[in-house]
Amino acid sequence: MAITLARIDERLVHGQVAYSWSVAYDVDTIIVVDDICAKDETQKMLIGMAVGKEKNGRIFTVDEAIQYFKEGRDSREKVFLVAKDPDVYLRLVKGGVDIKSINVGGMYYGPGRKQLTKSIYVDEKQIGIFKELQALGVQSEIRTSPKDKSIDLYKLC
Amino acid sequence: MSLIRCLALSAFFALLVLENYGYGYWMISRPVVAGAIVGLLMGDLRTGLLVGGSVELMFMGVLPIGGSVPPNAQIAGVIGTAFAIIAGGKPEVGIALAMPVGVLAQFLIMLAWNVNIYLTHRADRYIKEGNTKKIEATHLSGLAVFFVIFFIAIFCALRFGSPAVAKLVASLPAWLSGGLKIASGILPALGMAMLIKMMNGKKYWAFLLFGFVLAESLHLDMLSIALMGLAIAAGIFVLSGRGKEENIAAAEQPTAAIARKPMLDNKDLRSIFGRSFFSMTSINYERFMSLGFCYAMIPALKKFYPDEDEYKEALARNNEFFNCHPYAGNAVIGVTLALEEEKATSKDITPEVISSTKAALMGPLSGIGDSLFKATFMTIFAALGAGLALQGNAFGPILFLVPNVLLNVFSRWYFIKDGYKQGLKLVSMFHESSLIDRFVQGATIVGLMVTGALIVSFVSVPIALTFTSAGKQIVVQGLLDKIFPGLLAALITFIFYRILTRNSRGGIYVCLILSFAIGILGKLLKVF
Repeated sequence: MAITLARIDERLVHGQVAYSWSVAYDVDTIIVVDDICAKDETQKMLIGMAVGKEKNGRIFTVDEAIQYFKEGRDSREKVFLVAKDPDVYLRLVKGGVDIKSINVGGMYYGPGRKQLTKSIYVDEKQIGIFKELQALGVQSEIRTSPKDKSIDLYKLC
Repeated sequence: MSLIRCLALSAFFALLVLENYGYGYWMISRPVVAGAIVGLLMGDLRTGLLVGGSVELMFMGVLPIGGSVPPNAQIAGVIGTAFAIIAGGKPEVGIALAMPVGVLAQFLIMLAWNVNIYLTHRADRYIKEGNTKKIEATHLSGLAVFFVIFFIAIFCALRFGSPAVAKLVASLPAWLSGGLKIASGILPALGMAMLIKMMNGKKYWAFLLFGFVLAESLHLDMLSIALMGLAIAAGIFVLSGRGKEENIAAAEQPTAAIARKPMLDNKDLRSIFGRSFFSMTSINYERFMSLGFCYAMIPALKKFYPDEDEYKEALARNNEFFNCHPYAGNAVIGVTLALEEEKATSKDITPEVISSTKAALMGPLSGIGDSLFKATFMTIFAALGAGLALQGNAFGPILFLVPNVLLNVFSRWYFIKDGYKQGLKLVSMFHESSLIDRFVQGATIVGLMVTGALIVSFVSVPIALTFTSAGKQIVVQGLLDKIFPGLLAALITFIFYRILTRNSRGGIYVCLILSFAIGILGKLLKVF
């Protein structure tokens, strides 16, 4: 099982994710990792529909995701991970999931947040998490849509 | 043509073609209508009808689907007709030039879609500031982008292209002009092949064959065949849906009990409905119709979010990637209205639910829009209209246009209204029933039966070959007519279909070149 793309997007599976990204990277499965959404039937239904019939859509809690990757290590599935917060990825990496790079796509403006690029905003706590991820050898690139230029997030923190 | 007249005509034609993306998607720039309008303005209605009708047929299945930009039928029809009239009323010249023109025009659309990316980014800035006026102006300046690009291109074609075309036509040898005429009879097969490919002819070929036989052997007219298709589709729809419907009705009961007092009245909805006609004005490669969606939502968002920060957030949320069939997309607007209202009033809807609802609805609704509206509804009336236009009957374009305009207005309105009323219920209805699939299936059945009939009426391969056997002269076409008159037309359509499915990117060009090669070589070798 290969993680083709791991994205941070606070809107989870919106059009950009369901169409542009999943087409550009030709993935088989989109897995949303979110502890709250994983228990929400409406979100489950919506994400299933948004992903479409040709791809698999799943919603896991962080623990379920770690379990899933442990069990399915050998399959050839190409996976697109989506989560709202870098914290999710830190927990996944610590749980043994092999993530080499994170695509930072949708982190929106909010009170107490610092602007990194035109469209990416993060708070102090998230910067701390990114630094931990950096220490673990995980790269983080800012890129909203597949055709955009990739920017190294660590250079901006 | 004087410079002033050329400028005026170019401006008018650019405005006409603009409707496709700029305002409304009214179908007035589809070749069958635009050809007649160009003919009327340039003083040769008959040529306009003939070229428009033929170009309509060859572009029939060449439809923009899923954000693709195919060869442009609108500009092809306008320029093709203009060239045919300038060449002295030679329809075959316009028809032969239409597809190459359409292929070139494709790049104009791509250019505009790239320029519009800039508009989206500018709008992002104004959204941050909450500057509604500037957001609206930025979105609508897509009209200027499309217009300028179309105007320059059409002006250049008329000003510099027409003398070349006129000169070329004057020196055209008989075999070449004859060959072009044959090619213009073969080219509709490309339109039919595209339709078959689009409607999954591989799976549903039985209905294609059925329509073909009804037209070929029973000589039924298009409308009767379309109605038979409808009857079959409706029959299958009812029989296959048993039981499922009752489950939904039962499941709906509890949610229906929660009454909601709508914040938007009919006046608000009408204003959103009016704005929805501009949903594609700033369409671009990055986020497609995102800004158009936002533009339509503005009157409602203003009402829902008196707090400025919440309003800005809502604007940003509604300027996300959006791409859908323009009529059916209004259902997404409607549902989003309901969700935004719920978020504004009760706050128990999260922004991700709104975002994923949009993403969830885009695909299925485009499926309905593309198969039901574009590939079936439009095709049936295009075939009827083009058929009349090809006989020089000016009623043809009207027959095509009126139903499409009605469909545009009514579907947009009811999609918004019902989407708003149903809200998330509409999504679960789509999800739990196979309603959408069954609609698409029904549209496919009707569409393929009509396509089968179209092959019989519009693809023509007149063989002039004769040979002598045992002292008797045998006319091949006569022989074919006795066995199976539509055989060659069906064969060519099938070959084109195979080429298109084998080579999904370049197939259309291969078919195009093949049409001309068959026509010209055939004429040279005296096959036709």
